[in-house]
Amino acid sequence: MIIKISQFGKILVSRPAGREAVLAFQAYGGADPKQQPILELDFDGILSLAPSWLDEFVTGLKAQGFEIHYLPTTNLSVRESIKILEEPPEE
Amino acid sequence: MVSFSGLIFKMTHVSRRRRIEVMENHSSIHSLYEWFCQKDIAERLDEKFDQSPDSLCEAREVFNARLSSASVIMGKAGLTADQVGLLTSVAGEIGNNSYDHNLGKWVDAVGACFAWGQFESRFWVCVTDRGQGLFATLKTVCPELENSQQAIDIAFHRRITSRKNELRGNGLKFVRQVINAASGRGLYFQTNGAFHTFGDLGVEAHSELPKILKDTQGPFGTFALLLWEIPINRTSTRALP
Repeated sequence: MIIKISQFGKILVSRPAGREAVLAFQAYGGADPKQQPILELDFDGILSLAPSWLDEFVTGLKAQGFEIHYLPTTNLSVRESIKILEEPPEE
Repeated sequence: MVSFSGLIFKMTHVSRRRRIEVMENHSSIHSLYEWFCQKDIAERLDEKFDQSPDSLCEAREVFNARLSSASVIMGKAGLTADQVGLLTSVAGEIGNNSYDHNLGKWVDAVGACFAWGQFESRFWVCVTDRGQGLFATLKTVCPELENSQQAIDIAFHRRITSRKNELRGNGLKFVRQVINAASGRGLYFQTNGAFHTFGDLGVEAHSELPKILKDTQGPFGTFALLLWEIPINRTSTRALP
């Protein structure tokens, strides 16, 4: 299933907003991790993304049992946010 | 046909307007830094001192709404879409940190000041608050911390947070990585009495600030000044609205 991230706004920077987005998706997204375990995030139309928002959103979806894939994007703020999120945790 | 004297008058008028624009921008930055540095805002009796500047965003929602406006101005100033995206996300991370870590613990003024402007080929963004500061918040999870300078070093280089029961803590690391990723970017960051500069415009950002008397017992909270170079073929000679 593809999630159009621009549905949540064009400038996505705060943790509370990321948390709210995942709660809204849980209520209205129509995806069941048992039926459709893979979610593809489409960042088309985003102006600016910060890792705080993305962290809350992705962590919330993973907690529900989804596997997250990122669709390719040329938006630098998206790419930098994904890069820092995907860094391995410190010991 | 424009006469030679008319051309000289026009050039003088434009350069005077540019000098005023530069002075107004510098006085905005100076005012914000002075606001941050004051020991006690409520006791400041100087009539010229603005205790509640227009740029003060008492709630996160106000800050985020102004951030949207700022991103529009960045584009009008000549930054590319990629630069607008990056600068907006960096300012957003720094600003939202103010609210994440100071809700219910502001020293006096509630909220963060958020302002922006342009001078010559630079777009500047300033976020400052009178909250706890990095040392006080990180000390709760790093008892071995000894001072604000160490707090800055840790905050910008490690994934760490004082909100220890939550998975977070990568925001300032992101800020550092973006600023250092290319030339034409800079950040001056100060918390309490310690500071650090990042990027090749970091030292220039520091040079924009007035010297504050050392006997001021503040500052509390954090002060961040971002500088971003506007591409040469996009620099506007118009004053920003």
